[in-house]
Amino acid sequence: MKRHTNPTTNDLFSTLEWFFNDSLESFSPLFRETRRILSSASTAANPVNWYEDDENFYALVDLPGVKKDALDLEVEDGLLRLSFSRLSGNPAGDKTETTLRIPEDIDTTAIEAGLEDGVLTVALPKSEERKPVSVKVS
Amino acid sequence: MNENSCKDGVCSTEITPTTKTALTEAPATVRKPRYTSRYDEQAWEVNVSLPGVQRDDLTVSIENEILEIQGNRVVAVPESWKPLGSAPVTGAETTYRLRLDVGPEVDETQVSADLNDGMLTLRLPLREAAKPQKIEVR
Repeated sequence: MKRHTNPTTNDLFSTLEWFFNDSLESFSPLFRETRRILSSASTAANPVNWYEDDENFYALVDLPGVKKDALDLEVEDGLLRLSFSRLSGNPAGDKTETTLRIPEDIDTTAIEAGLEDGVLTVALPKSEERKPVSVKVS
Repeated sequence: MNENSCKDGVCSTEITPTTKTALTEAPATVRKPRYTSRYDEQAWEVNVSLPGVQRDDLTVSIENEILEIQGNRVVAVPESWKPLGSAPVTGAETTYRLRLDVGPEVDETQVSADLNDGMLTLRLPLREAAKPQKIEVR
């Protein structure tokens, strides 16, 4: 399909085609309101990816625009609660909260977290029983 | 590259090895980033979520009223971390691409961009002529 890249064409068909082409969005006054509603609806959900090694589980959470001092972490009843606020310039700048279910048998006293480029990494140490034990063959 | 063979009215397309290779050798998934925008009498401000994207891996350009943002994100977890569920392996790439039609009222020479904590903040000042004019009543 040919991509329409010149929205200045004054013909109705290409204007419509351009409007429905989601790869290109408009600042034109006609579409401002539609776009405002669409973009404000896309603020929830912070993708989480899980990893593990012998010692820890790791949760990587996308938190774009969140600074270290604007983030609080809390562990309670098998849940990790993240409360944060984004950069002040952002319309979604209010306090937001999201919870992650964490694996069982975690040493909750030794959880560590780091935030870099808007990605939070939480290391959740496995409790002793959970770690793999190598058995010596005599 | 593709060969059509027809037999008894049934046609099939054979994909040659070169085509297959081309498909598997494109590792970067292209995604449209989340963004919010707002405007006042002076400028548009656009906030684009680019978690995990570093400054060197981001390009912002504006040409013919089209603002194009492209950021590359590479998963950089240690080799020893085993991905769980749908977590991407280390080295996996995601390309965030956003194209916005900013219209004729933006002064393309005055656009500024700032990347902080995985959030890109763009300021697009309006041309003098596009700013609201006060009309004196005599």
